[in-house]
Amino acid sequence: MNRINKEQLKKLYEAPEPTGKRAFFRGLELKPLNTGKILWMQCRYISWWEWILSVFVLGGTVILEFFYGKNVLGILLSVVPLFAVIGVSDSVRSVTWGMSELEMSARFSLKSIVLARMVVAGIVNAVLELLFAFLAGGDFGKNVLYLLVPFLISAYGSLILVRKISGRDGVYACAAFGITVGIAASFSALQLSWLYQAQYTGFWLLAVCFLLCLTFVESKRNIRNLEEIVWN
Amino acid sequence: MSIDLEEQYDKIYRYCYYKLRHTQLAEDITQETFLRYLESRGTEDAGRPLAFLYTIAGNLCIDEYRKRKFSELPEELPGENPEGAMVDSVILAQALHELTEQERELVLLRYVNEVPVADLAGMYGISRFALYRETKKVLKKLERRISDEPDK
Repeated sequence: MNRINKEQLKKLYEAPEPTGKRAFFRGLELKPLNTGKILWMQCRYISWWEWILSVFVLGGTVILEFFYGKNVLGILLSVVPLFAVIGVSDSVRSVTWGMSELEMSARFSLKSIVLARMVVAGIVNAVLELLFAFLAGGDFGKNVLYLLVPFLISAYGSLILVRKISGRDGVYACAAFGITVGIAASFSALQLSWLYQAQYTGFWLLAVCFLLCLTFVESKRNIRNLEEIVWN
Repeated sequence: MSIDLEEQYDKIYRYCYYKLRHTQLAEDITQETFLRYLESRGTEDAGRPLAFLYTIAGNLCIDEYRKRKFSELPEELPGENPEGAMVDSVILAQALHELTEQERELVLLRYVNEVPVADLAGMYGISRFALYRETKKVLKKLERRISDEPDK
């Protein structure tokens, strides 16, 4: 290309100005997407390490169950809150990393993106919870309740923390909170075993319902918070 | 890989114009290319979108060409009217004119529209090395023609 002038070459290939470009792009309607497709698209933006960690913990649980056969619940209780932390922090990742303005200029509103990610994280976590409850052995229903309590405490706390503390500090605070909840839950399973007896099932159920309400309210508050950030 | 559709519009249009040498037809084919591209790919960015775009455009141009059976070509090919060009580019225009149709198209895609080698190779269905060899050959041909020119 040394002896050939690129600009001259471009001029020789020059075409008359297109006249309908603007009108074409203005009238171009993007294909509408249904909720399922939006959720599937968001799956690809969830951090790879979240998937890896989920598979790793699930695999570890299966191995533990296979070799030891019992007392997996205590271990599971310590890791379950971390899933809530990961789910929450990943859902609000664009806000955490200061990318919310960029998200707002995109095709979907930031609110719908965060909602979609929350739903995806919620579905993944629900599936994991059910699998863990099954793998922990014993009464499946009770296991679901036992696992849900630390999970929901962690989710609720993380939602408050990401709303109150901006940036990376919020994620660190969530991680610290999740670990604390995990340790506390694991400790309670080992040291306060009376709490896990049949007569307290009602108490666990009540706790789950109460925490579900709190988490729902807090999620709504978070979403409403996003509405206040308006693209100018 | 994500592509800027508005930027590519001009390039695809130039490519269609080069193939059909008709302003309105070139623009219609360009728009049809984008509509088909968006329809089949939606919002996904996987694979080689550029190669895909040029393949659609190329096929549509061939269809159009067959349909209309162009007897007259009202507008000019690059290098067909060297008198109208600036003195400096006359030799280049003549050199281009001596290339085959496929070689001229390759020059347009690679050096004017700046389509990456990998996309071009995908579009032509050849390896990157084969494409590299082909572009080298065409360039050498052009350079030889330029250096043969007594005025230069």
